[in-house]
Amino acid sequence: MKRTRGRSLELLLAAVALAAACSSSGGSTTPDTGPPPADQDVTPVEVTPPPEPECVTSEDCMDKVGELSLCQVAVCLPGVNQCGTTPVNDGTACEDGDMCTSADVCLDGECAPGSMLACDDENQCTTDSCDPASGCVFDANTLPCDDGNVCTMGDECKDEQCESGVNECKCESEGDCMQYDDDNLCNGVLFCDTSAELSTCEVDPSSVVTCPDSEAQCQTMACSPDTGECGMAPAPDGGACDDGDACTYADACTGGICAGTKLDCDDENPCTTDSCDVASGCSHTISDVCGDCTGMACLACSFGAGCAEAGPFIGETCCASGDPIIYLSPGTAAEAVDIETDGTFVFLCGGFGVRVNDVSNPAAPQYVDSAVSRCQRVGIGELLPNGNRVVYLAHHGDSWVNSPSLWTYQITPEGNMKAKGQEADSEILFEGLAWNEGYLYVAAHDGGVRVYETDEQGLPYHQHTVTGFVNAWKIDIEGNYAYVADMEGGLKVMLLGADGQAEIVAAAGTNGKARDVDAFEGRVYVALGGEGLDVFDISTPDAPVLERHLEAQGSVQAVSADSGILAVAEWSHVAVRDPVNLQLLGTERVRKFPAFDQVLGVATVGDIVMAAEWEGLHVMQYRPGYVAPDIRIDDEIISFAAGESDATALIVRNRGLLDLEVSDVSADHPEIFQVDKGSFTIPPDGADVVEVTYAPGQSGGLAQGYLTLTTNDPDSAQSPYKVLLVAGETNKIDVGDPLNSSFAFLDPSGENLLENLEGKVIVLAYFALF
Amino acid sequence: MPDIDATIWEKYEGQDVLVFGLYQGESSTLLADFQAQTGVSFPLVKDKGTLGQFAFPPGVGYPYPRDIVVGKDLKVRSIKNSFNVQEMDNLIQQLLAE
Repeated sequence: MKRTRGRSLELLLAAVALAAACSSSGGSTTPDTGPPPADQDVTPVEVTPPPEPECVTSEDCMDKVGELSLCQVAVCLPGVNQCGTTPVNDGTACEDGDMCTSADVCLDGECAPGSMLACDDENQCTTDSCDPASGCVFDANTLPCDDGNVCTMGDECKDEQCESGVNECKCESEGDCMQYDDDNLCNGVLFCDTSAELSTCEVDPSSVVTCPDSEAQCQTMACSPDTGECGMAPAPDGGACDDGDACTYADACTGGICAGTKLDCDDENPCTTDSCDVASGCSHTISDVCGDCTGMACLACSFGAGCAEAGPFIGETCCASGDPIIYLSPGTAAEAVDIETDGTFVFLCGGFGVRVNDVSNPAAPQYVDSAVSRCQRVGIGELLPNGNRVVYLAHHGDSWVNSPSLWTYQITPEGNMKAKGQEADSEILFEGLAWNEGYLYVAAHDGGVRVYETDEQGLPYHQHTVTGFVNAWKIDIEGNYAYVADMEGGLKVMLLGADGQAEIVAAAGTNGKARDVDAFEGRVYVALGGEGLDVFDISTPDAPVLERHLEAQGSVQAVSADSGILAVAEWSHVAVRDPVNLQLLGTERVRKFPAFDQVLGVATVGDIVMAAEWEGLHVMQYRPGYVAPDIRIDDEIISFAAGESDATALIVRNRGLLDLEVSDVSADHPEIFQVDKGSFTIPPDGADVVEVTYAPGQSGGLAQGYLTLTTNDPDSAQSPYKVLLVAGETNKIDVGDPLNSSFAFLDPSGENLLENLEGKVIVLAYFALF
Repeated sequence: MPDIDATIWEKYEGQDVLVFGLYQGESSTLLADFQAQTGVSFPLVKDKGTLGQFAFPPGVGYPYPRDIVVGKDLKVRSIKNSFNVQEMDNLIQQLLAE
């Protein structure tokens, strides 16, 4: 049903062309006016305006953000894929530039001063201070001092030494000095120095107690005057120290104890559990289980890259407001219908052969090579010891290239495609490809699945054919089993044995025609076109059980689950679903209205999603944890019969996880087209109806214009959302009908007259069309 | 080489049979490459917005040729999205005989 909807779009657009032509040329149908059909490439390709992404990962930003402070790191800002900076964890060591502080740490992205240095050289003849530029300064002074001898008076500092003053204690014997002793056993014992002409009491240097340095921080060794013994005593408060706890900063001595200020490890990210380890400091662990998002199902944060990297966050959840799928860049393709990637290169098959892009930097795909004139399937083969990768291409033949072929190529590490072999057989309809451990499996419609052994160059040699298929279309291999999308025969399971042996061991019906298949971690996903997506449980590989059937809003053409996210090509858009609960997490439209997406293939590498859209390659990035409103309108063309008053209901859906705010609905030609509402809100998974009325009045009513909906959907390709309004002729040419004058351009005389074609049998071979 | 070139265009050359390959706006470089690789010799003409006028039957999912045959009276006699040489040949002979 969805496929015919796509068809109806192009037919209606063609009708628009007719109607416009009529209105501009007095009724004669001139095909050069009015918009072209949807699949005609006269409209420039429009893609979601890319924000000129600078980066995908933070490593890309190392040299793009200028000079960083010690407390900042370069990051790739999510949402815009631009380089920026973010604070490092609080508590990370840094240097604040002040030499009078020590143990500086980062706080909120700034380097905060640590402990003030205790500048004390314990020399009374120096004046201690601190210079922020150089640190502690000890300047010599000439202040009065104490040389330790109570008998001397007028001691003064000189050259950083305390010089003794006049000794006033005269003596003749030791006993004369005892009266002058201060009873402090630490500063030495007096004796009578008789060596001079005038004997005086002096301090015996050997009796002065010198305490060793303390080995304990915040403690000092001090002498007890009563005993003359050294013992521990508290160091002066404020001295720098290290308490050995990485969860504190600005450590300093207080009362003989080293202590710091506790770090605040809260990163304000509800997706992380914050903690502090005394050895390593703050840590932020991604939560395995997220909170319950208010009004929406709980989003799994534990898969992929984890939670959203930036807010604003929503409640106590793992969800952040923002576009869950951002557009990175377009790439090169030509009428692409299939896509595969080995992580470095992406291959897109289509009406003009295969196009190869280097996607080692997903933000900037580089076209590198092309091969063959036409192909519709591509499969990745072995990585050879010389670094080349084997690539298989298939074409089932058509009226333009009616030579069904299976090609073998090798792509060099530089991206050059080297032809190695070709099997051409007009009797074989080569279709889906899958290579596994020395064997290539090729779906061949009613010809079954052909099994080839591949040699050291990747060249395939046919061994045998597995029959029992109605219309073998695509293949995917998981473990020892191959899962085959049999277009009219459902899902079939082949057991792969040694030496290329293969046999069908199970079959399961599908809810539509199976056109693509992907097996991953216990599930098989089967694309069913307009019938949606079937999900099979293959925990018992040879007994698939239908687990879920998912309806889709587009026509499901392809599916990819191999990188841990479930990406689905749904013709009109790309969708990403939770691989566990299958919930729709986001969608991306890659071409902006009036162009229509025709997404036929999808491949994933990590959180990078690559879409094979008819016009080209489109590279996107899925961002776990981000949620947004997501507008969906099934019918993007509203058509009225010219001159006949009518009304129709336009259904507006919100497939996103936040409220969709429609702030304005306006129609061109308001004298003819009217709407019944201007603003409204649609909750997640909800829908509302805008009634569009056509009132032709006296003018005849031929018109076309747009209905424009302004919303808070962050996807720029659908914000604002435009719907085509048409009032015109809608007749189609069918078998038995005559060609009209718009075909006069075929006149080989160049006169552009339809009459000149009469009497000829005409074959029109439209190529490159759906 | 496309069958339609050998089995129709070349076979009926000089008779009242016109074969047009209609493209949709592909670049001249792309078309030249395609012509060189496929060897088609009948004229390739850019479609001017006419394809959408045809009431195609539901497609099979491939963006490959749609072949339309028009009789000498300029009435559409066949619309196909798959190519069968014998079928088209028979139809052309029938139409030439009318």
